[in-house]
Amino acid sequence: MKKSGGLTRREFLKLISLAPVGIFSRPLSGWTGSLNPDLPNIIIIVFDAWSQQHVSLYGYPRQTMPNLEKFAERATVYHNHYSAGTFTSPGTASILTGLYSWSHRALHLGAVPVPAHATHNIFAALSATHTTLGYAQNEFADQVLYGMRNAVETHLENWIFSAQNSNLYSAPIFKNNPRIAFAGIEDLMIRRIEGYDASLFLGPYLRLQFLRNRAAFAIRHGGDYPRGLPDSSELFLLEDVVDGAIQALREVQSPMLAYFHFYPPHDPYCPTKGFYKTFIDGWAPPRKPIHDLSEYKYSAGRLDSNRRYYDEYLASWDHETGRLFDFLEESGLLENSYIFITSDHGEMFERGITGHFTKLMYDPLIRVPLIVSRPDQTTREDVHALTSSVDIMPTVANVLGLAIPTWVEGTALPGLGGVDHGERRSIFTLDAKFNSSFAPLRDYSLALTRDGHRLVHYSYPKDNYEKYEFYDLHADPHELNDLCPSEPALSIEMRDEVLQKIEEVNRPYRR
Amino acid sequence: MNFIRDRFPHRSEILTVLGIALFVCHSWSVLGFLDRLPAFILYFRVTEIVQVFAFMMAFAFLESLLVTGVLVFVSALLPSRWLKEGFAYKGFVLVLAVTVAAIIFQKNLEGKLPSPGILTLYWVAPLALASLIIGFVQMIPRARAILINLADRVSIMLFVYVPIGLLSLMVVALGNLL
Repeated sequence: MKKSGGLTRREFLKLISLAPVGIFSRPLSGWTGSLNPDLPNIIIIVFDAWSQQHVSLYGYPRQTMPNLEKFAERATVYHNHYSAGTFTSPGTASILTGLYSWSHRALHLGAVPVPAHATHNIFAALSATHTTLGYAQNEFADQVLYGMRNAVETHLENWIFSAQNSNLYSAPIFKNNPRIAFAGIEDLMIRRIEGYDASLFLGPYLRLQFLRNRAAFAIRHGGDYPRGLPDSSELFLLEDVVDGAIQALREVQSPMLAYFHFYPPHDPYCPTKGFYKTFIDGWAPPRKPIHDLSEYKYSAGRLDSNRRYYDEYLASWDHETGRLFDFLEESGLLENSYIFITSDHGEMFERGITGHFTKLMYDPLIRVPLIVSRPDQTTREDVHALTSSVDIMPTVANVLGLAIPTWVEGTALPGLGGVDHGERRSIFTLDAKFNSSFAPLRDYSLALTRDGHRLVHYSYPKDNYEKYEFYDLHADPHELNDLCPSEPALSIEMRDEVLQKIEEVNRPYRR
Repeated sequence: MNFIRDRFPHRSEILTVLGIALFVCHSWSVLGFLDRLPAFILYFRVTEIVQVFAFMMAFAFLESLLVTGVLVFVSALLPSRWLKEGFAYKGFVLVLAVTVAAIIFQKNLEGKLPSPGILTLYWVAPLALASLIIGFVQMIPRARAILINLADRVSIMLFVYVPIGLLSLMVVALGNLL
């Protein structure tokens, strides 16, 4: 390939394509040049819909993430880490606020933390000491970032590393209230992919243009992605997203708080050519019965296929993120940064469910990876204590020597200044997407994990459905044997704890 | 000046067609809004829901102006007897035909790009249908009178949707520009 000034044509084109980073990102207006350069950077990397059960680092039989394993050789690996939510909005809000969903109330796709917690987030907490950058490729996570926009100095638009930009809500004219613009435009008037457009004539016309762009891009790059191009509402290439993140990290002034929320391995699962059909190996996980709450009740064959596609996509994504990890090392960022790699929620392929849009609460959906690299860490450490995504915010405060804000509901992570409670700690995961944000919790799924056990309360009075499930996670890691009918003492104790917690968090919402 | 005035339909006829466009655009938007409202109620406050509604109404208002503007512009370009003469009922038929086509088109535009043939059909079919109806109506004065009467009745919605549209535009402008 022809080289020009040390750059290949492809590299040059990539560089040019990153120009929008500078043009469209908000300026570093808050940075005054007086920040203390000795403070460590905080870099939080979130992979959307990333289940711990599918990661080779955590013992998955398929070699899905060798680059992550390499990165983890000099990091702390948390084995019992749980997300506080089961889909993007609550999961992301909990990472950024240190609050459970019953407090921040971002219970639905498109929701953001309530005004009472509008300034209770990691960006606001660090805005005086760090430059802050936020990027969320998932538009619902992007809404959460917009909810915190006063403290996010550089907000990279969610489409910025994608091949398309069909979002109107992020246009400068709507900067005062992009959330309303999103609901009005993307959610109603111009549905870009499916559903009716509330705009009778312009809606379908613009959607047609959008589909034309997608088709053209798919023709151009389809050969590299046999199962179709990665799609976060905007088509994108895995390599472009990683390149974009690297470039953004190069440009941000230290000390920084950088939050990167990548869409992969969220569905659709679209591996590159090199990973397509890599895992046709005959392996299958233990079969699990279809749950009453499974809406579509997918067959085992369908679940196995989707699992394989997910694993191949994960391997493909790991291949690209390897370059990001290399960059972190080569640039010296590893030496002066705390780097958190985690997810907002998991993904499941069992009990008739594929994906994460479900009322169910099982390990694949709520147990997510957490790998943290400290400055100058040289060896791998493993932590088996129970931890939650609400612990990230207080951990950041703790490692920076700041007081842990009083509003947070998590604690500092063991290994990073926090106390190791082992499994003697209550960790909650809540899904209340059918409940109003402004009313007491009545329709929800709530999982309580502690002492090696999990109690799940499914409460859906509108559907006349209420059920408790109780599992011994050590003796029955696949959660196949519901112990609730035999009513062990711990299940009763945990049930009381769950009900007490619901009562406590509902109190402010009772008239 | 007279030449320009002669090329365009009479103001009252333009207003009739605008009323029809406002009616179909706003009705469709309201339907879409009502469809999504149960979800919005779960996480938006009333003031926010009003803002979203204003967004839609403002958009529908501009869309109606655009549709009417296009028809007026086309009528100025075409020979007078094609569209300018009897603009009210011809515009009425055209807007209705295009509305039906747009609804069917939306239904079939679920995440996949239609073939060029199908796309052409979506353009040609409503125009052909509208031409047929207009031709038919032109021959039967009674049918024309019924259509004009119907168009007049629908255009009464001008008094509802124009103020809503203007108010919504103000809400959107104030919310985003200040």
